[in-house]
Amino acid sequence: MKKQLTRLTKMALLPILLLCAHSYVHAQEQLTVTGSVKDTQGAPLPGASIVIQGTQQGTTSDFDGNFQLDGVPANGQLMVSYIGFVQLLVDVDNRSSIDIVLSEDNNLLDEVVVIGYQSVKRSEIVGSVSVVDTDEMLKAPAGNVGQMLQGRAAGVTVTSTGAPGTSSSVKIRGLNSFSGQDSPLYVVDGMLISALGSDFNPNDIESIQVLKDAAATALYGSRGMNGVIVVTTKKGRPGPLKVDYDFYYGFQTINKRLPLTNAAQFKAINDLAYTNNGDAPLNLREGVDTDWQEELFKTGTISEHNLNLSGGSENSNYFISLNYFDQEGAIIGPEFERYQIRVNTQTKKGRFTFGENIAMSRSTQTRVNGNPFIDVVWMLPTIPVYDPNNESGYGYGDDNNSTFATNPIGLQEHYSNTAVTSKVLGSAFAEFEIFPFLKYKLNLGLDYAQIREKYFQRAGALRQNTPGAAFLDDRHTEFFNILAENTLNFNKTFGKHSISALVGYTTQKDNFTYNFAHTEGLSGEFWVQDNGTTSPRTEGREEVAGLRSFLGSFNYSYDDKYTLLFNFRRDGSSKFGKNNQYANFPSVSASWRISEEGFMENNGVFSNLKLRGSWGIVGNQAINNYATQSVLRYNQNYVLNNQVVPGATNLQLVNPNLRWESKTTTNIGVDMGFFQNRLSLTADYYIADVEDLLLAVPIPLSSGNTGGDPLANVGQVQNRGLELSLGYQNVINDFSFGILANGTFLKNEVKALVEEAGNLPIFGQGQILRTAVGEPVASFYVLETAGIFQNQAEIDAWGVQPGARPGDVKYVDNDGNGVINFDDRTVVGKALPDFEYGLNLNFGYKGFDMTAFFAGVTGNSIFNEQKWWSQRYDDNANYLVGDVFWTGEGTSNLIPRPQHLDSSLNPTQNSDRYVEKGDYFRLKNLQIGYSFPEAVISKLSLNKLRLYMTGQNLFTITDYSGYDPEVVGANGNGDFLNRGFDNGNFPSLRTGILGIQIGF
Amino acid sequence: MENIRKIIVLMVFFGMTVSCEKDLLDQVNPNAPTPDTFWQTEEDAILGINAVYSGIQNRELSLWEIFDYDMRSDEGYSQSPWTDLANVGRHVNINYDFPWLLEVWRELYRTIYKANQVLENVPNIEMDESLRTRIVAEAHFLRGHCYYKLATLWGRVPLVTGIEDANTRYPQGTIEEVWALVEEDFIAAAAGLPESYTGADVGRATYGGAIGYLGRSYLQQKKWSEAAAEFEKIIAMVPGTYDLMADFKDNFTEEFENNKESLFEIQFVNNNGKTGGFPTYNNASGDETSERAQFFGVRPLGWTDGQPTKWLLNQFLSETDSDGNEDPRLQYTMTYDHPGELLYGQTYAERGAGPNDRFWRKYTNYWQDYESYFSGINTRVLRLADVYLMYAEALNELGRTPEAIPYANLVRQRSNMNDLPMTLNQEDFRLQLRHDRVVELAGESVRFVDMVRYGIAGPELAGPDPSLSAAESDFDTEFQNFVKGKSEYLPIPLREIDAYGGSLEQNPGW
Repeated sequence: MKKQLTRLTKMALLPILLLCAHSYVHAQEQLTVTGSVKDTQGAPLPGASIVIQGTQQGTTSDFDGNFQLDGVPANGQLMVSYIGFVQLLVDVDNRSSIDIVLSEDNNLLDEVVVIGYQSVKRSEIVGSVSVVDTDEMLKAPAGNVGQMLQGRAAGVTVTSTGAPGTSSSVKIRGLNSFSGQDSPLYVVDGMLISALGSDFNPNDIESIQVLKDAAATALYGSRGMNGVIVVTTKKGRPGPLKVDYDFYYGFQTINKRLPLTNAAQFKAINDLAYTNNGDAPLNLREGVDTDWQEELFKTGTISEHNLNLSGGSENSNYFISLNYFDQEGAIIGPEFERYQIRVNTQTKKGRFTFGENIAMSRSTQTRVNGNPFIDVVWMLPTIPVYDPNNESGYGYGDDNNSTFATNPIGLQEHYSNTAVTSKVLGSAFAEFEIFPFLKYKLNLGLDYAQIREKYFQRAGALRQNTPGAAFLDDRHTEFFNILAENTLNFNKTFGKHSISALVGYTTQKDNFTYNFAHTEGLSGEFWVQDNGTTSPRTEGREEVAGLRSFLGSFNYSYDDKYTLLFNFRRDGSSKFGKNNQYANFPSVSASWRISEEGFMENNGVFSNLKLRGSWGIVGNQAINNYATQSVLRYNQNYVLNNQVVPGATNLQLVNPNLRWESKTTTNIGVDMGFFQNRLSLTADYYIADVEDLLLAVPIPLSSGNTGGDPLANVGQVQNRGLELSLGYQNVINDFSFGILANGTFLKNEVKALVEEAGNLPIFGQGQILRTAVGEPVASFYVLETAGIFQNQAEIDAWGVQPGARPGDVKYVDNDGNGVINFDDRTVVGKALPDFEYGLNLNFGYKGFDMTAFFAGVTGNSIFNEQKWWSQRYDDNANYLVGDVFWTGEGTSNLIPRPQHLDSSLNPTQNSDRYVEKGDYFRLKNLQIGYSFPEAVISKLSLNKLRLYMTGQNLFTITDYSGYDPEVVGANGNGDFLNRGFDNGNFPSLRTGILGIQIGF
Repeated sequence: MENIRKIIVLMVFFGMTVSCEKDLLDQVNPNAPTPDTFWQTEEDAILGINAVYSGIQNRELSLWEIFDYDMRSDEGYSQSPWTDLANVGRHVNINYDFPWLLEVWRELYRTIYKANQVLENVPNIEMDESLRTRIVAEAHFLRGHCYYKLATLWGRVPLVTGIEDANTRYPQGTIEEVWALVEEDFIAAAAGLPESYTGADVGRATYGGAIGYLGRSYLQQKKWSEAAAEFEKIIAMVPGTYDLMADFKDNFTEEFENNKESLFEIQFVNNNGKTGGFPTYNNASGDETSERAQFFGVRPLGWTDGQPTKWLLNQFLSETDSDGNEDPRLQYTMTYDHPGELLYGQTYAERGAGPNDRFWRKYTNYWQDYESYFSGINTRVLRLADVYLMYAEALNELGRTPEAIPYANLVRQRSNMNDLPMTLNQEDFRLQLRHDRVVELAGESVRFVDMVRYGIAGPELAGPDPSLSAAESDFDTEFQNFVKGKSEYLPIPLREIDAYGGSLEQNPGW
């Protein structure tokens, strides 16, 4: 505490010293000083900065930590700094040789973090911001940043699939938007982008800050509603060339197997199902016993090479990285490969600073075709994987082995679905220091992507009654998004008053073009449009969107105790009609560092105590371009006199009066530090009211609307949450350990929906997910069951299912009207968890280090469609071993009597039988590493050599019976209409990795 | 220092230039015109009305509706392994949103929306007046066609007659109100439609089509004299405009489309000459084909998703022609296992079909050795033989049996069937006429509507042993699930009930 106060005093004095220094410095005797900069262990610190206090004059230490500096005033002072170490002001005291020892800065409060348009010390953050420990994060290798973020920050919900090259679903503080565009804004080195996918190399990341409340996000106005993730990439440090090379290689598997029946077991149940319907059993193929899971699943691989070259001088620095990432899926088919090069440079000349951060990448993704995780359940064990009698060469259902599943292996091998993405993401900036307290910055950003997708099917069927002719689809999409930001930054301290302010004017223009070509009649293995002979077809369209913004920020701080912050942004968007084009997003926040008060001195408990409060409004403009403009659709063709005649009309209804979504957040937070901040605790409580939600409301079919329901501004959703983060770090002799834990309690409630339409509930996937007033977003709304009818007497007593037979599912007549129908549906669970948590433990002992990362959720449910397939019986699919179905009184009260072609469809009703608890607790990542000691590596001319072993998803505790409780939503959509619906999500993978890190 | 000044100027200039695009926020969709700029010219009016026709041709309507009408009647049943599909004909609809129900509803209303755009906009276009009158009348015709289907499939449906905004929940009509709308539309259509077309317009709705449809609508409501009056207007156009084709079979092939027997057809053509793969519709080089033959064709060439019942075969076999031979219409309507029967050129045994398998032949391309999604055969919505039989029914119900019998005989004579004696009494002729409509019009989506009108649909049609399949029994055993007062209509899609949130009442019993 005392030490800190001293440092703060020094900092307060700094400007004064600066002013004074000028006046007498030239009058002093000057020396040439030589010396060295080392850490407390005695290791040299190359590239440390040594500057004569009060001047721009200085140097950096060389590779061995040595330096020489001319013209040093004999009574002057040297400011010695090195990133990650405590700055030191050294009195020269007439010495010509000075050895300097810097100690590591373990005080995270002094860490400077980027929170968007500004950088501030952690202790000065007023809004709700999670600073991600990127060192720990990068220990869990993954293809994309989203996946790495899981469990790393309170209030951030990440769900991922195991499919190579896919992005994760990242949500901050719950499902804010209904528009489907409910993912956070990413700010990568000042460029604003809507997604950070697998084409981005996570190893380039220096820091990640997650901005959560309105105070933190208001400067992003209309794009701040879903939270903002600020990513800063690495910079070179002053010093000679530094080379870091990381490589790892590992294996990935799908660990879980559903207990599907083999051919003999299948036949027994299937025969019964046919007999129960009064039909002769199928003449199932003999001599074939396919285990579709074993055939589809395989051991995948994951590997990555990452080479960083960095260095710099006092005024310039560079960082270059080369990255190659390769993943071969854990099922036959999908693959992902990424090449990326990044160049970050920065140069300072006088009052100018300019630089650029640019990454170019090319990635190739072979996508998963169809829905193989449903097909493995839907397929029969009596169908062979390969069948030379079929044109395609693959086995599929026939009259005697009837199923309408698609051969999941054929889907991946016989069809091909690839996407090649070429991307340039970067920014260039120039900053001019008009006065020491006033800087002008021009920031230009670019997000350019070209995506070439190729999909082709070879001839021949993969599914019963579904003939396939060869065809080829080529899609070409180009995004060209440019940003220009002009900002003026003011920063000045007057005594105990310090003021920082920002004004800015920014514009962004997003361009999009799309072309599509289709052809058929291809021969041979020549998958290009030129080889097509029939049915050519093309599509194409173009879109442009513009955004113009004015922003301002004013921060006043007194004595480092009291801080007041106002943020404001005014956004204009081309997506809205003239009447609603502009919107304003203000926020105000304040903080009080109680620990700096006199009465807290020597309190013996808190080393840091800060209260924060904020209020503000942010918005969302995430709707499709031209969504307020109704258009005419051509090619509504008909036939007259045996000739095709063209037609045109409007098909899609639009709402021309769409407004911006807005979210009003009130946030209260407290930051606490104990034991010299070795233990820290942060808590945030917030209430966020989202209004005017943009939603494609399912309107009546009788409206005649085609092509997606029109967007409307609807209702209100309230999210309330409590976020806790706890950190502890300590070093005892050679033993160090740390804990990072975070937990998020989230409650949301729908307050209103479409008021013009009487606040009717909104239904999602399969009329199963329902969002209704007074309930949480995305609830499972299905029939309730009460076991199985054991005998006729039970049916008679039950009364409401007169046509039922013993062995049928018993449904609950919730509305008490005497019959079972869709009015009896009720809420049996919800898609979003109540509580999510992450726990990271790390230990170090001499050269050894170990990290264990656990994550979990509780309180959510999942609709399990695989289970529905395996228990529907009326249509042929495989069955689960151990599913004890009803065969007579008292045999089962869970699973009904199997009956093929059962026209009652009794078991297939969407009911609570298929809604399962989604809670899980999982060891996401376990890493053990060993760094070779100085004595060894210096012989190899290295300064770093570390070997490590990583295991991912090593164990999971869950009651969910599907492949994986980490379910995004139907078809990988995490929005409120699809959330928590498992219709064959690609499961998370168990991974084992060996890696090496070398530095010199 | 000089350089620094240059850089500052450059920076500010550059910064301001890149961020000062004047029209940045005025982005107009560059991909298509807006409806505000459409509906201005004669050409727009023609494009607009063609789009309405496109709606009735849409596969999700023109194909699925066949199942909803013909499998639910005693003519048809399904052995589809897809339970939801097979259930339609069994009068068991567990999933109210089963696509083949929901999509028919949806496409009917989409077509109505398109028709309403024409009705709202075309009257304001400055263009040739007679053409404008015709186009507006065509829109009325097509909207009437849609509401006729809604009235017969669902009964009490929302009445949508204009363009409203997206939040509108439309009033649910009573059955009488829905029929009134159907009548209004066909009356308005008849007032503006020509008797016939030439050249490129052949296939559009005609005066005769509107009158015939109006008569059919009256008949369904048992407004016998109004119906008879309309049918008489058609008969007055024989033989100048209309007449029976000499050969029954020429009504179901591509060769004699829009013939003199036809009052209205849904038009298809295999414009791209394809025989394999899947069609795509409504794009620049899309297909405008009928998938009916593929869905009903003999397996494994087609899917055989619906088949004629043994009951239907019995109807044909119950009466021979005037030479003592099989009713000649049988072989052009359906197949059954008997010597000489060929399924696309192969015998029953060669095709692996069982003795109780019967297949639809009407509207298939049975003379080929393959079937595909690319059939060009038009669907006949209304033809003169149907008008004759409906006229006969109206007269008979009005007690004018002797006047009615000759119209039934006109249809019988064409197929070499003996004339009915003029001595038949009203009840006997009524029953005979029901039979004659079955053998003449099987598979033409009229039987189920007829059964509802006759009031004969009920569980008793399943016969003494409902456990037999409709392929084995002499009765359509699927009727065992038919509940009088319920099964006459389909359930309104759950999605629609949910979207109306209480203001749309489900059909009784569902």
